[in-house]
Amino acid sequence: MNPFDLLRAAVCATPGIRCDTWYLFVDPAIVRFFGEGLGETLKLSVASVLLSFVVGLLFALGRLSTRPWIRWPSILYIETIRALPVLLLIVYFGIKGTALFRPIMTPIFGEDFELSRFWAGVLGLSLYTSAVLAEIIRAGITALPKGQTEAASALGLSYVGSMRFVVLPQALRLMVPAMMGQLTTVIKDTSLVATIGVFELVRQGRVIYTQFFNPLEVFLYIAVIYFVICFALSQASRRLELRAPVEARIKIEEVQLRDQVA
Amino acid sequence: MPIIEFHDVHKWFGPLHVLNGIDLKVDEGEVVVVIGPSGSGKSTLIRTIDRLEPIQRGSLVVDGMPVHDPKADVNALRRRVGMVFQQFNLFPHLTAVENIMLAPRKVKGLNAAASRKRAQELLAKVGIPEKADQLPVRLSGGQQQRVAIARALAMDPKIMLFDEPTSALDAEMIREVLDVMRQLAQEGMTMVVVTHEIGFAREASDRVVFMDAGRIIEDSPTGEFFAGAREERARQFLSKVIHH
Amino acid sequence: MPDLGVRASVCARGGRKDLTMPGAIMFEFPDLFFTGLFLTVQLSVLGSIGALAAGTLIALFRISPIPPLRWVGVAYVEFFRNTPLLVQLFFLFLGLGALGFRFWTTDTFESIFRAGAAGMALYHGAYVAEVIRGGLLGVDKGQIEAARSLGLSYVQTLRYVQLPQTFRATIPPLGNIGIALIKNTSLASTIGVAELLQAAEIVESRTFRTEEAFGAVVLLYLVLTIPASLGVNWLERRLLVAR
Repeated sequence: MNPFDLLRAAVCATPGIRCDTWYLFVDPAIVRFFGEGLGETLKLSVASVLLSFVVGLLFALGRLSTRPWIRWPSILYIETIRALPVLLLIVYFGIKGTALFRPIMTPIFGEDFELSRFWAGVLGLSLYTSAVLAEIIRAGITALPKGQTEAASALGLSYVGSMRFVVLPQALRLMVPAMMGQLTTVIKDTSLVATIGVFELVRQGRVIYTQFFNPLEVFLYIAVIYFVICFALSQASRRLELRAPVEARIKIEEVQLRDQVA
Repeated sequence: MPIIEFHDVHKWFGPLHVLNGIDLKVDEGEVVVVIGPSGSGKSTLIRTIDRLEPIQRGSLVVDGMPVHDPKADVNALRRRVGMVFQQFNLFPHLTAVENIMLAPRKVKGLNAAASRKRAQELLAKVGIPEKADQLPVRLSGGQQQRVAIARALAMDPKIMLFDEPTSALDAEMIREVLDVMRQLAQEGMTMVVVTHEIGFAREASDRVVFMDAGRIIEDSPTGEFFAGAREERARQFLSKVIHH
Repeated sequence: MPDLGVRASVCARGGRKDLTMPGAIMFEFPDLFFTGLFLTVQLSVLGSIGALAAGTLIALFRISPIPPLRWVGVAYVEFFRNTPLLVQLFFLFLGLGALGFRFWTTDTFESIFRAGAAGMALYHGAYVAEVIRGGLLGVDKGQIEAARSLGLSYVQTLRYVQLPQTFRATIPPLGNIGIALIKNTSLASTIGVAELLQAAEIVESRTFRTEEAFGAVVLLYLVLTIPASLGVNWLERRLLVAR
């Protein structure tokens, strides 16, 4: 026997390592099964990021507003949500989502309206991510030199006009790397939606390991899939980041650290 | 018996030949001032003595230790050689006295009481005993540099190296640092000083070494050097810095 | 085994409308809520200590002059930051459990708790490592030269000159990681640690008083995270002034 076979024999003789199930991870049907999970993971991520961006933009502008009755509720929303675990929000929407949305949705979908688990997950993720994106967007806007807004209003542009045509286009460009960084966080966080029964990657993994009793292999396999996607994205985000002006980079980074970890 | 001996020392930074065939001997108790235009390699020269810069060719022996040998015990060498930097480089999280005590305690294994006593003596010697418990941010540049000198002296070095010690100081603080250096020279410390302070070189040094483009152009006793440098480049340099 | 099925089955259930003082339900089920709070705090403290230790070690690896150590450091940071904490927890608990590794205890609950704490430490350690590495590299090169010129060794220079300054400069970002860690301890509920979130879920499934149960836990999390983030902000301002 050559050294490789010896090693393999030793590894496979270890109780808990299930070499007999390794074929699963290249079996076309199983790969397709995981692929469906990955598809769900990506759909969850994209839907959450889009929804969060719209809501986050509103709250960022709200927090920057000079009117206290807009500013304070925005601050309260952002700070409270950021102080809570995402999983808590997801689980809550998992349990209560349908009841919460029935009053709004019955006129459209009828009495049988039920919030799907997918959308409950998206809501939980977005509630949290929107607060984070609001802070990133706010940091991006405040990172712009003050002269920009002043020049815009000197040209006769209204507040909305200067935001729309001068400030936001520049600020959003500054934020692209931070947004991509947050996307990797959201992708990681979609794994939490497994707990409310959405068949994304982790949940598909559970189906496999409860059938074949090989959790070690399954979670390694899943970890590698997440790693490939998140690593590629975070590298791309880092590369883009290096092109941004140092000032803006630092400001956005400060905001982000806490939320990227979550 | 020279305590520092360079023999045909070469060093390159990439394509740049920063030290080009250096031959130099410094005897025990001698004070040697190295002058020259910026980029002439004088800082690199002094830094090789403490092996902050490795050399690529030739031999360099300091106090009997072959510094050019990669296997030389560099920490043992550095215990015997004190170095003072242009930017002082005090440790900002430690007070003046703690800056001075650190190496004696951690390298020599002295106890806290003994090293504190010694540090206080050294602070008195450099003229700022009252600053013992101040953090570096609370000290002026001149005071910081004097603490840095005391810190180097705390290891009882046989050689002291000064790399442009007054270049980062305002005019009124230069004097207080040079006074301390002068005193050290009088006490017989072996010193190699890179400086633009021609006055210090004239009064306190035994020899002046003039460098340009990585070479030693002139190496003469101080009196002779100022009476009339032999080399044209050194004369030109001198006339510039003196009339400046 | 983490029972992912429980929550799915209660997905579409409605709740009762009770109007009581927010958080009052805590005192009806003190064993669940306060034990949960205690476990959350325990996980946070142990996780933070572990993350600081792991992070410091990995940061030292990352700036080491020895290439293989640097590779290990990079691999660690990239792997743990680019995979979900949930997957890491399942791997530690179920994966290592399959190998018969139970974190040196025969007690099931203790073993789950230790897996949770280890997960917190390993995952957040990767973020801590990057912060500390930045701090170490931020120490002026001249100071390192000064220390070496005094005869301090590489390790002594790290220990007495670089690290003490690093910890000061990195307190605010480390504080932010700490806050994230407190929140992330909620993930330990998925492997069966009866911390705060799980307390809420158990009470909810027994009483169907969803708002109250979750409201109580929201309050308890805020009690932990808001003072922590005010503290971090305060420290940040103080350190800025002190500089």
